[in-house]
Amino acid sequence: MLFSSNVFIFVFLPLALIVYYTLLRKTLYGRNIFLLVISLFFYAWGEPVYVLLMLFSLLVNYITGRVIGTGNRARKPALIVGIALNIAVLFVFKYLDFSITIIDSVFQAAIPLINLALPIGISFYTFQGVSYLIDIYRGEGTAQKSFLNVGLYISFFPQLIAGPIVRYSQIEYQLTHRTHSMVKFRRGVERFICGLAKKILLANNLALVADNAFLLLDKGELSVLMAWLGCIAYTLQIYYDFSGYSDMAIGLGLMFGFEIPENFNYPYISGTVSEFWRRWHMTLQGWFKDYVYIPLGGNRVVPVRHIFNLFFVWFLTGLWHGANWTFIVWGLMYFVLLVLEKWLHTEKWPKVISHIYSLLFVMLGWMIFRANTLYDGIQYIGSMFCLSGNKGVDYNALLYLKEYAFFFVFGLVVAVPIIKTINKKYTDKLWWYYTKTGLLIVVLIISISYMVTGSYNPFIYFNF
Amino acid sequence: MIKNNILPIVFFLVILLGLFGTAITQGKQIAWNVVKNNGDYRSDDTINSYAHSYIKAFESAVNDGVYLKNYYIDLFGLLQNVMGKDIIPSSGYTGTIVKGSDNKLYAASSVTTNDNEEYSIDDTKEYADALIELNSIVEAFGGELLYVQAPQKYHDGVTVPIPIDAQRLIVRKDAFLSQINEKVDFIDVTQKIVDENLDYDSMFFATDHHWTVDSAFWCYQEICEYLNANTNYHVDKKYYDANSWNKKVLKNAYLGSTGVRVGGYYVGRDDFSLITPKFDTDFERHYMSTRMVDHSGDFAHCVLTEYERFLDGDYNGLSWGVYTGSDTSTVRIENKKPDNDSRVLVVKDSFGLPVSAFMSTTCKDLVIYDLRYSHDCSLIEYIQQGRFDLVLFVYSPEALSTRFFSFE
Repeated sequence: MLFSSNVFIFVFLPLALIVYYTLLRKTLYGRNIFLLVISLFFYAWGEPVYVLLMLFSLLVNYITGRVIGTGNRARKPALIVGIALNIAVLFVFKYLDFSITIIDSVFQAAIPLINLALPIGISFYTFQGVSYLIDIYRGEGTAQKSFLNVGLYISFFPQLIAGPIVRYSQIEYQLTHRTHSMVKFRRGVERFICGLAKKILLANNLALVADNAFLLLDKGELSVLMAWLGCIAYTLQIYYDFSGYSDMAIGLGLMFGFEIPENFNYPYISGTVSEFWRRWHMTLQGWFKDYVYIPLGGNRVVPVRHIFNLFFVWFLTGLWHGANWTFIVWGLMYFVLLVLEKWLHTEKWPKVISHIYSLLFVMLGWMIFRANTLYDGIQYIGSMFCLSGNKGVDYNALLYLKEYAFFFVFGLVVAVPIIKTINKKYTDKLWWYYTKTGLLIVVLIISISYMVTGSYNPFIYFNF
Repeated sequence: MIKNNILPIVFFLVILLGLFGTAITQGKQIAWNVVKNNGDYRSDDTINSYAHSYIKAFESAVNDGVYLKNYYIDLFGLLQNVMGKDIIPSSGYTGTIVKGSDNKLYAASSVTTNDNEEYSIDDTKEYADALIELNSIVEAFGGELLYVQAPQKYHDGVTVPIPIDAQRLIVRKDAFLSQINEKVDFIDVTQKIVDENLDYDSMFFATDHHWTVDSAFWCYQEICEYLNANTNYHVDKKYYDANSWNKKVLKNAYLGSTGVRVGGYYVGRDDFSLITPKFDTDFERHYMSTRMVDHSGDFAHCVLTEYERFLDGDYNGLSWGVYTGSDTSTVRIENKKPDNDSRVLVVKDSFGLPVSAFMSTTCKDLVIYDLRYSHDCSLIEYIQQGRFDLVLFVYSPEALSTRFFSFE
């Protein structure tokens, strides 16, 4: 079930809010049971059979978490078993066929592929499960005696499918002590509307430009201008798709009393690639930093080991995004850039130059990320610089520029913190309150009009 | 408190209105659609597939029945107009819609660049051969066969921003007609429009791919004149004289197949004509292969559907299917006040609906046969059993495909 769908907006959400705030208003325990049930229902709606896999994951984490929480000698083996089972499930469903393909290729074998469908959100809820176990082991959280709370933490529907990846230590207290207020609810509604608009109005429309650019690449008809339009479109699409979903998740969390961590902070204003990754998918980077990079020693080791640590983390970052060489190369591209940045001290470069260089590499990286194969990605980048002997400007490029001008302009404006700055400056002004309220209502209705019309509605990060 | 919380209150009211409005106005329909259509989404007999099928059926039913959907679509269309968009991308419901230089809407199956694929005349030869053979079967028992090639909305004078399917159809239509020339009686309506110097654009809806009802009536007149001049099948002039018919124009009433996707503020709405005979009529309508209810009454109340409601100004549900009902399996219209014993078979796609309705006034029995839905027996068997005095094909260029020419 997508947040940006009629069934969610007009059936699931209003019913959930009505029951939560009327029938269950006096019991937080009752509310938690209700949230767990509807979260599992929400997941089952998209994955009727794989909800059993989700339940298996909850059970594994609950049981091993209880053992870790006992503090006795079994806690370390339990941690290993718990992490191993989580990763094993992820490996089987996401990486097994990829591994078989590599083995077949390297050893000239003929092992058949398993062709298991990828359960939605498996990368996200697996990482949350591992976070739960490690935080308990480290003493940063208490093992839950209640299966309900473990289940709710991992499967809470706003962040179940595509994050943000919420660490157990960040949410533990809220499971049993969160508050509800009109202020929180209002903040939640604002975030949700912003996220809905980002997704439906910007991401979905810019997706059409990007998709068409790659279609033209397949046909050998991609002009330079269209290649750049497609690149810019995808750069904006993936940001609004993912950050829009995160905004909706955070907004929904607030509506039900939860404070979910931020996931994006205007990444495209970054002056360096390092800064980009402090602003993009922050919860994933935080997860890798705290559970992989620092345990390996981080940067407090000899230089060779430091470089290895960076390599390993970025290899995993790429691999996490998908079982394809494009994602691995994309991740390793950032490893190379980050090492170069440290070596060249790019933070001392003039801001304009470092901003242009980092944004350029981010955009080129997205083309590798988006492509089906490495070859396609490299070809696409080649087309951007006329290396394929392609035309400079053609009818398609001008057509798409004209058809989607509004979305490009709006997308570029919203990618920088102009609105945030205005909001901060005039937050105490009554006229701004009414203006903002009116604009958000208009944006809500327009977003719903696009949604009801049934416009194109892909979700990139659902593939992870 | 309310002043500080306008946004969450409005948000909650909007989604609540959607929930209760949809449940109250469409709840039964949604439940019915889930029960009836879930099989459409089932790929196998596994539990997973069953669960998926009910989920997809429910989602589809809710998507179709969202409360105030038409108003949201109108807003969407208005925004596209304001932004100057000429291409409305495909959704889960329809293909891409493009606005032509004539301010009419056209459907495109995909948004691609020019495809240099060319059609050879061999592509339509098998259809021509099938029609020629059918013609000889009809002639063998003394009947007449007339093929009416209905026009298509798109023509060379229109510019569209991206290639649309209709551009290819012109080539195929011309090839097909050249292959049946002098072997089968036919009317090329497009050529007739050119020969009579009619305003081509005005003959089609802006928001639908069909020709207007007025155009269909004009074609009916041309058919009758052709039959009288070139065949042994005769139609009394009183049945196709324009003075014998009433016309009621429903202004700005119609959103057609492409218009429903973008609402009434993108290119506006079309006028829709209800053309009914002045002379007395009495009919019975029978659906031969389904369990649908039979109708009886005069032309307006039997051959047309929901006539009174549309006359009252309630245009909700006004569709091309007003004439004889939407495309369905075999329909028989029995004329209870005939002045001859003629039996007519109309083999048609959707373009033939109004023509069939008007033709029903000229004979004793009119059977409407749609090869997409009529499967009781082959068309050849049906014609041989029925021994129709006239077999009339009314096909648009889109019908030049195997499923419309599988006569055996």
